[in-house]
Amino acid sequence: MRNLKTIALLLLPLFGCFAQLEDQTVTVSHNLCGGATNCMPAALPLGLIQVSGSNTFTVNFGDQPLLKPSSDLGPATLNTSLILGGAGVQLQNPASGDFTQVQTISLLIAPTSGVDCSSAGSNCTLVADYDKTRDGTANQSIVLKGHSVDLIQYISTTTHSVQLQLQATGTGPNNAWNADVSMDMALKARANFP
Amino acid sequence: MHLRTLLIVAAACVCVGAGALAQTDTGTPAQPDASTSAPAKPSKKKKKSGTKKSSKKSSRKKKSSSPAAATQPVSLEPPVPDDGEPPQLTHQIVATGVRGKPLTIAAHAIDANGVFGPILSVRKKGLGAGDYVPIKMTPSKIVPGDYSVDVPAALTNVDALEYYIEAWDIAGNGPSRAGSAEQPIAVSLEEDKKVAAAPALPTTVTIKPKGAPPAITHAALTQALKGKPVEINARLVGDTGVQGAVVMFRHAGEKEYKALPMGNIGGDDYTATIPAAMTTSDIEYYVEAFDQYGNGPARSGAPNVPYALRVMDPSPAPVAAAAPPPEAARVHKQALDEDQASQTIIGLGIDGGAPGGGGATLLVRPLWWLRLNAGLAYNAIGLGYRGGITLAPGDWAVTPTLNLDAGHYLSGDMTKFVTVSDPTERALLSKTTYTFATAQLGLEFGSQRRFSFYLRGGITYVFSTLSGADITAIAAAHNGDPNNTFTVGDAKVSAIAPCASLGFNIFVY
Repeated sequence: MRNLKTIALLLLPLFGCFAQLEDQTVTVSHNLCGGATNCMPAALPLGLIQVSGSNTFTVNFGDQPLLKPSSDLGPATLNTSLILGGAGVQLQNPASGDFTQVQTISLLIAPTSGVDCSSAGSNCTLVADYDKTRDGTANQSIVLKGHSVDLIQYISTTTHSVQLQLQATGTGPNNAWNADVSMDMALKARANFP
Repeated sequence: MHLRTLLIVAAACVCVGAGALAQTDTGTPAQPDASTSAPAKPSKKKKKSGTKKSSKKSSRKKKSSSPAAATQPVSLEPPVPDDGEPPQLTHQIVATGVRGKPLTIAAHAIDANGVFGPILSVRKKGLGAGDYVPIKMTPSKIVPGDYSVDVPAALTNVDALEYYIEAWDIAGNGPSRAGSAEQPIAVSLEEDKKVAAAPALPTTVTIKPKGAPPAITHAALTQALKGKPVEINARLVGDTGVQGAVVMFRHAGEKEYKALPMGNIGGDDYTATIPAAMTTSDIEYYVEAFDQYGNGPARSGAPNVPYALRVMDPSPAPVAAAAPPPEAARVHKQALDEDQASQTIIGLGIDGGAPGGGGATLLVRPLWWLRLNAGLAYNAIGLGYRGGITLAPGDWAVTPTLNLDAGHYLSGDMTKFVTVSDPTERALLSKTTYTFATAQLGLEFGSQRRFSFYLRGGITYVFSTLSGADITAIAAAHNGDPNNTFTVGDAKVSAIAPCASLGFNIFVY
């Protein structure tokens, strides 16, 4: 009994010990046209954007040990989160017009590739969205409000990637256009002892 | 035949007298026994000597108790050169006493050649000059220079007494007097209850119960640092307790002393600390104490012969210590050595531990309980610098400490310890810099003034920033889609972990 108390006292300093890595500015940017210029038709009804297939893209994070929800590191357990704070759609060429006719845009995570998030029962997860009524009229860029979703749990353990889709309503710019979709994330990996 | 016997007896007397002289301490000259007869007074002009024609019986008497016999060696050459000065005699006047009770009269007499006497001459008030009764005062066995005598109760059963005190040195210089035969000091003797009802006259009346002031053992300090407190210690031993122990101190050149009460720190040891604010210039001090009946003061040093405490700047300027009194030279030297040892304020520390690594630091101790350190740190990954403080709330053989350190590693290459093939990851790990702070509790063994070894344990906080550009390069290397672009800002890495270290300190200056 005395030995247990002694051991407990000796281990007391370990409580509250931790190791942590934190990065508040992890940004992934995706070009809708894949590098081509203005692949989107002028005044495109955005409900049809998925027809082009340009609304779907994959982000590969690579095989990083940190990018797992939980991993054992000896006596400690490493817990990682990758929170999506927000997203944006930036018109590449101002001559294309603007996003004033855009009504809504949603950024979703598809459970698997090939799933159409616009169909019922697709089981997609909304991670960020824009609503013209709620957020005001957009111009050259659209800011999507994040829902603080932890992307870690959606990163495939085999491909180390996430399937993302854009769903939109309204009308696109008056001229052919292209845009970059960006996601702002915060990474935090923390190992607590014991 | 009779003449031959007398010569043998006389020779024996001379031998015994010489033997007595050889055993006599020159610092405390032999005193003649108290006698109701008039004691012999040493004089350069008037020297009494035993008669060669005295009988064998009378010769033995002189050898053992006669003042004349005791003064015979004085006629020989004194061991200390004659200073030509009579003793310094101080006396606290006794103005009243209790009728029918012994009357204690005390005096303090010092002389480089040794004091003869002092002799108290007392008579009933109003009697003639030839009616004084001489009584030799008894030296204190504890406080050198203090003498006292109890006037027997048989002599105090009168209305008033008159007395005076005389003292000579062994070389015959004197007498020094308190009062005189012509102008004696009057003592009013009253009934016991009258004395109790009389207003107290503390400055002139001294009726002391039996007892003696405490003996003071004190290693005099000779040096101190400007702006630093000075601790003065003494051992006070008295059969009748210790009361009112104080350090009386003043700045050199000042007239008045300030009293600093001494506190008991266990057993017979007392201490007082002269505040740092007072150590601005050289200080003179002495220690004095009374017993619980007010007997005293016993002193180490004296108001007119105080110890000189030289106050020096903390800068290393060697200053010769003031010459201690001859009789305390050895004690002074020891005290000086101890003082110098206790004032070591600069040293070197070397330590090692995990995960902080090792280092060598310069130590500075501005206060006895506080150490500052600053130096280099090395942890096999790279070099850095660090600094901190250590609080040591004691100066014991085993002393607990609280240590707070902080530092920064300027560069480091973690790839020495981690096998990484990816060049982007190698680039990140090869530039490992971090800042740390530690808080540790420890135990130090040895002397904090000189050498101590220590063990410490606690927690460390590590903080580092990883380059965003390097992380971006790693992400780009793993990016499978050329349409995706990663941009990563600087990452912050932090950790709190247990730590332990061991090392040693050497204070050299």
